[in-house]
Amino acid sequence: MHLHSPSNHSPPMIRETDTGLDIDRLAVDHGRDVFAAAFRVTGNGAVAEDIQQNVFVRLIERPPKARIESWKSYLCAMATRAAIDELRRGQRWKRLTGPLLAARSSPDAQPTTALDNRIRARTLRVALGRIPRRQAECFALRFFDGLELAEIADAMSTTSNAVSVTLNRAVRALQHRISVIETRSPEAES
Amino acid sequence: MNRQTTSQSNPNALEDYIDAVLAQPPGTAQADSAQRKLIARIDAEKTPSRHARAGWGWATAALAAVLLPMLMWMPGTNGGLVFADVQRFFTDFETLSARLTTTMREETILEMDIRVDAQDRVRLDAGGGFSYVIDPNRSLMLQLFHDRKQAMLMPLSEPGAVDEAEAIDWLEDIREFQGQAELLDETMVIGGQQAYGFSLAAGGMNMTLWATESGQPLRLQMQPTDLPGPHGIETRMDFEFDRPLDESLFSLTPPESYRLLGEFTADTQRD
Repeated sequence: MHLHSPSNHSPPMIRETDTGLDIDRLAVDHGRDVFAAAFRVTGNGAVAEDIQQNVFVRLIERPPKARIESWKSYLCAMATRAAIDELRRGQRWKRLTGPLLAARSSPDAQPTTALDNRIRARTLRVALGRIPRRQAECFALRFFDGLELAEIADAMSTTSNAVSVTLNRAVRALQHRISVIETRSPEAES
Repeated sequence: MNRQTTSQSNPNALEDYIDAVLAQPPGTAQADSAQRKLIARIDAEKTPSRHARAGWGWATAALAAVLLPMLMWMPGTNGGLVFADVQRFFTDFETLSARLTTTMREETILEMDIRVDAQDRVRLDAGGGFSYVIDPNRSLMLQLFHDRKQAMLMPLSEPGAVDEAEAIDWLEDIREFQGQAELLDETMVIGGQQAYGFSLAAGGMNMTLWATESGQPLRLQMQPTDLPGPHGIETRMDFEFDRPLDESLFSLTPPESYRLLGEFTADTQRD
């Protein structure tokens, strides 16, 4: 798990220059973390690549004004937010394109008592795309990326208490969504 | 996943689902490939003068890197004896130098020099912007960003990760290539020499390879077939064989004035 990567708890390491951030150094230090964060949420390497690049391009175009305590947390939060938006867009697309396409694109989403890892992962991602965005972001940062409550709070500009409450709501919402997904037919899900 | 952290605030009911996600991390080769594209993208974004070109630079460099070994190892086609002679130039050369030009609606958007030695080491130079040195024997690639004097050395692929390295698995591309070369009726003059054309389609490209009567390749023209709409994009490579090349061109050691990004070095790889 990347929690143990050497750069995880490193202090702010960015060399400020006249022109701004040392984006190259950020990319070398945290590019893989950003890609992995996006991949965990989307489960799609190509989408994760796009998100990874967009995170850093956005950083070039609109660097943060406030001091960043943990760049890893900050960048992973950006990637997770973008990845959840991708999930939600996917859900919206399925609703618009109707039952047939949704069933075709999710052939494994059948009710079964012996779900394998692949189906479980897909089910959780589908559920993540259907709960409020902020809850999904908190959940992914906590349980996919392993961030502490304080790190999530910092990345989301809120308090640890608020994160804790949001996480509890996220867990309950996900449990509900997953039970719905696993008991309904694919047609009903679309 | 940090199990203790998970169980503190996560009901057991979701643990299996979370673990299922964490059990399917991206492959090492996939992450490496993404990282390389990220570095190239950042380079393009930070260099306004090359902004419009750098995206094509990476794509064309990748194309050239894939295409050259493909041509060198291309299996027999039904094109007859003459095309076999053409292929022989790509397998028997001491050095190969090529000038690559990509145009969009007849406007040049990228120019690149490609040099290959007898050990199949490849060097790509895109003007004063960047250079790549690819050493397949050591499975390493060196990237040099000249304007910022930065260098990056990275493995071409990790051992055991071949199945995941879809985007950079040259060997698989070569093995699966089933080209059909068709001799064209038309001829053209290139550099004062009469050239005969062969038409090939492979890897999402329509290719025309022009060669002399003795089979020496002179020019390769490529148009992508998998881009939507009328894009007007064409890539051209002009070949020169067995021109002496300086050994230093293929060195994996960055120039002294360059800062090496990351902790990976050629020495690391040897260890």
